[in-house]
Amino acid sequence: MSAGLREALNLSVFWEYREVLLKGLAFNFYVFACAAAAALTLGLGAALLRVNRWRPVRWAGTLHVEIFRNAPDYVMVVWVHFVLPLLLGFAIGRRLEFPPFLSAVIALGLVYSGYFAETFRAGIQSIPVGQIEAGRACGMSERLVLWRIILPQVVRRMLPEAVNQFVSLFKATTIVSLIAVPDLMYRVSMVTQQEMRPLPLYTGAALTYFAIIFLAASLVRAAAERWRQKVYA
Amino acid sequence: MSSIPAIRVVDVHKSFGPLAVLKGVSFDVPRGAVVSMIGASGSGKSTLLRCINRLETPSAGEIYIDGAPMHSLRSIAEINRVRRDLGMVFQQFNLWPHMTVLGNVVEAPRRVRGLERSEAGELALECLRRVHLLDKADEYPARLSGGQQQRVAIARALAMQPKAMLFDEATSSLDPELTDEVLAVMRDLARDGTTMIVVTHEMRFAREVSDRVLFLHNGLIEEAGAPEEVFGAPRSERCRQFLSKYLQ
Repeated sequence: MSAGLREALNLSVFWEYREVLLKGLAFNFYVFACAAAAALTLGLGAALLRVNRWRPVRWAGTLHVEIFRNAPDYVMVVWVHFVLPLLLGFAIGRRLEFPPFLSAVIALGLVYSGYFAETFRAGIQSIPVGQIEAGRACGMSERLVLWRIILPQVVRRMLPEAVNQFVSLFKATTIVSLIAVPDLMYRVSMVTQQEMRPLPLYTGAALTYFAIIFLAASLVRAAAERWRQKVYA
Repeated sequence: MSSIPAIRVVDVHKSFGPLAVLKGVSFDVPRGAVVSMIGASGSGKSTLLRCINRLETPSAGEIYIDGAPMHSLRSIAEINRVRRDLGMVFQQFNLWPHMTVLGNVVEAPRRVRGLERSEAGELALECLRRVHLLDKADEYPARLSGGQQQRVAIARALAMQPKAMLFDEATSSLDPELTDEVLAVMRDLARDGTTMIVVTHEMRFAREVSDRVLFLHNGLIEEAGAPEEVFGAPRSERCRQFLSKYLQ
């Protein structure tokens, strides 16, 4: 085994800094949780616009989806952190600055809302219209029909696709170090500068992300499948 | 008994773009009466039924539910209030697959009428008893036969304690052996004095159970009368031809 490979696989330095790095990983989870909440909320809103009966409203939904689904994560994170505060500051007439964490959540929330909107839309449109009419015929309001008939089924139908998007979103949280959110990658870079041993540190980070994503996605997929089968037995 | 009919339909028209589906239909359904609507596919029967509970908005005409005008309602909240009084049963059952049988029946009384959980539960169980499905309360619809699903749909409509029931070809998507169990439940309802409008291709059922039969053709009521008149001695040639196909 070459010295370089041995060095890459010797993770003792990664383990030595585990406390600092674990705190960084916690930031990945915070960003993920907040961005996922934002993406789901905005995504549902955009999906409801996309299935509205009025064409201009549908266009607004389509615009949202196309803009954010086609924006690269990297560009959005940088743009939201550096350009958006300038534009908003100019509009309200005073200097504005976003904390890095907030910028990361807004950027990733917007990008992934585009993906979730399409998943929600497909789910909503897959519900047979007869079920919706049955709700209306019972005197249910549109809100009740949405929350009691449409969304519970949409959530079940979109789960496999949503799990993939959650995995992508979690992976995307690794780029927030670009704007100095102190996540795992950010801290690995800091430790690397101090220890000058990038190979084991970046290998450790890669293995950590892989293990977390693989385990979490497998568990969620298995649980989701069991839930779906139970309900539609 | 009040002389106000449970449902009054006055000169109702309905067009989809250039296509006129209803061209001026009028009839009354007295309380406790069973009115059957027969006619070929595309004659406007289902559209008429859907206009009565405003799943379709009539292009013109008046509809009164228990004397209250349905046609002039504009807000969805007002329409929903009147819809509570009309139980609707669809050809495709349209049960909610993510809810159990009991969940399907209890949903509208709980969420729309605002009944307490226990009260709504008791009411739902009583409705399931009426359609002979008490033992299936905890099953999901996917585990039931078509006939059982349709009976759950009837229980779901009954649970709102409507003033009238609307049946839109309730047996048309069922195998012949499953049709009878649904018709039996509908017969029971008629016997109990439920006001019903029944769109059907089951001529024997229409003849036995109805107080009045309407034959629709091309968006108009071509023939109307007591079942023995319409089935026994139809005046219109089209009605005669239509019935001859079914009664062969």
